[in-house]
Amino acid sequence: MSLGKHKGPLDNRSMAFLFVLLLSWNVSAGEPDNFSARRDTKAVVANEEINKAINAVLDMNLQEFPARFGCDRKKFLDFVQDDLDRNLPQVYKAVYVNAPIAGPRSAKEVPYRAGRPYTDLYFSQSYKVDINGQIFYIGLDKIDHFFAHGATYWDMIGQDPLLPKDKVKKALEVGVMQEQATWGLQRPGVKSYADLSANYQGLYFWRDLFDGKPAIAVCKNGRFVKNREFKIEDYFVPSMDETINCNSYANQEMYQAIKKVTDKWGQKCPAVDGPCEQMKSKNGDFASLLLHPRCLGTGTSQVEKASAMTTKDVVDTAQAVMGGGANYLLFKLFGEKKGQGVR
Amino acid sequence: MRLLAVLAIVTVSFSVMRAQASLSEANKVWKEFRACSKRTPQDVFTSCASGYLASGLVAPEKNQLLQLLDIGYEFTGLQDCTGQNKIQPTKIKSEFYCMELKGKKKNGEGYVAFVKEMDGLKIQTIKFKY
Repeated sequence: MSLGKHKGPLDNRSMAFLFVLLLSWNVSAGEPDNFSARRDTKAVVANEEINKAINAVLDMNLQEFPARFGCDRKKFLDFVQDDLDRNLPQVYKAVYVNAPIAGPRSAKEVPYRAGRPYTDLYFSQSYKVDINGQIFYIGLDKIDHFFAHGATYWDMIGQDPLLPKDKVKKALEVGVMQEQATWGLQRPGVKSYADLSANYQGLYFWRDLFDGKPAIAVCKNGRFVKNREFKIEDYFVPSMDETINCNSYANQEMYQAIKKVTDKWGQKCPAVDGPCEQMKSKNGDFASLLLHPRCLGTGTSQVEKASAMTTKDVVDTAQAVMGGGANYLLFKLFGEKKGQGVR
Repeated sequence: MRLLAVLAIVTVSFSVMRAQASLSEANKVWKEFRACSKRTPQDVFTSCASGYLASGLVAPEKNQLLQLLDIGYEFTGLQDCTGQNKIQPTKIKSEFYCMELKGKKKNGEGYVAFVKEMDGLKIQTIKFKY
């Protein structure tokens, strides 16, 4: 893990940065077109802007955390989660406004065709990142998956910094359920394995906040202070790119519409060789819950049938996981029974 | 002394009335916003629901809030937040009210924050936890 030099709390540049994010509005948001982003020869690496946006939000939280709470972890977590979790991370806006976009800026610029998954409602901009020499592309939606879904995973494993394998596996299974249901195949029409990967990487951020080696925030003289800069280089991985960790689509028609264009471009999925092997080895026992069969090398189909689970079923399942074992198993069986057409 | 007591009662009553009026206005906006989810096709739904969102939100933020309805999250009506509500804003100073996220068996908690704009109360954010 490479670590950045420690900076003071909210410096002038970060203040200016936040100011820009607070004043800005309007341009055009969950399915990124990473194929078009990969073809964008003018795209520039967005690491610095993304890191700056996230650190500005972290700095602001450290500064504003009421002194009377001292080093109360629970209180600080609640404080920072209000910005970085709960389905709409504050940093979402900061990244959108400040980081250079790669590929289409709006759904209208997506070359495949109008409609699912690239509707105005679900389209997400992409960013080019360079992680320790590996260039890949991530959607803005991955920022939400990393922080917000990552926080849900963190809660589902009981905020245990040891990341017990059995608990992590259950959290990952809920993630898969979401993608097979309304978050993925049912509504936008895409099961994004890259989203699952982003959720999992976010779990490490929430672990590292207090319990990383080294931690991001530490208690010093009765207050939390930043111990190191947040760097996407420590967390973002190639399997967060939908051209490496391929998608599955709700029907052949959607898949063919995209393939027709990417074939013409000479692009395949996975777009590059190498990262999938690296991700398989990194994720070990969890690889099958995070990587598309094409990335795993266990299958080629990119069409999967949506499950019949409702959002309420998923909410209940997630809550059951937070509450412990037996209930979770019941919900899991319930979900699978209802979604007999899955895969 | 008596005058002070009267003033205190008037002040308390006024603030209670004002709070109630705001809660009812917020609930109206919240109900109408959620009702947009029944509108089809998707562009009719988005144009209906977008009208209830704060103008200061960037498009991806608006879409993120609209997606909550589109993917089928269901919420209860709004209530004034009390000490019992675990999920409340830690920084937002605008108007906010608590609600619940409906599951089949158990509800999650959350809140909705509003801003006042020229043409009425608008939804600034929706936050919840399972």
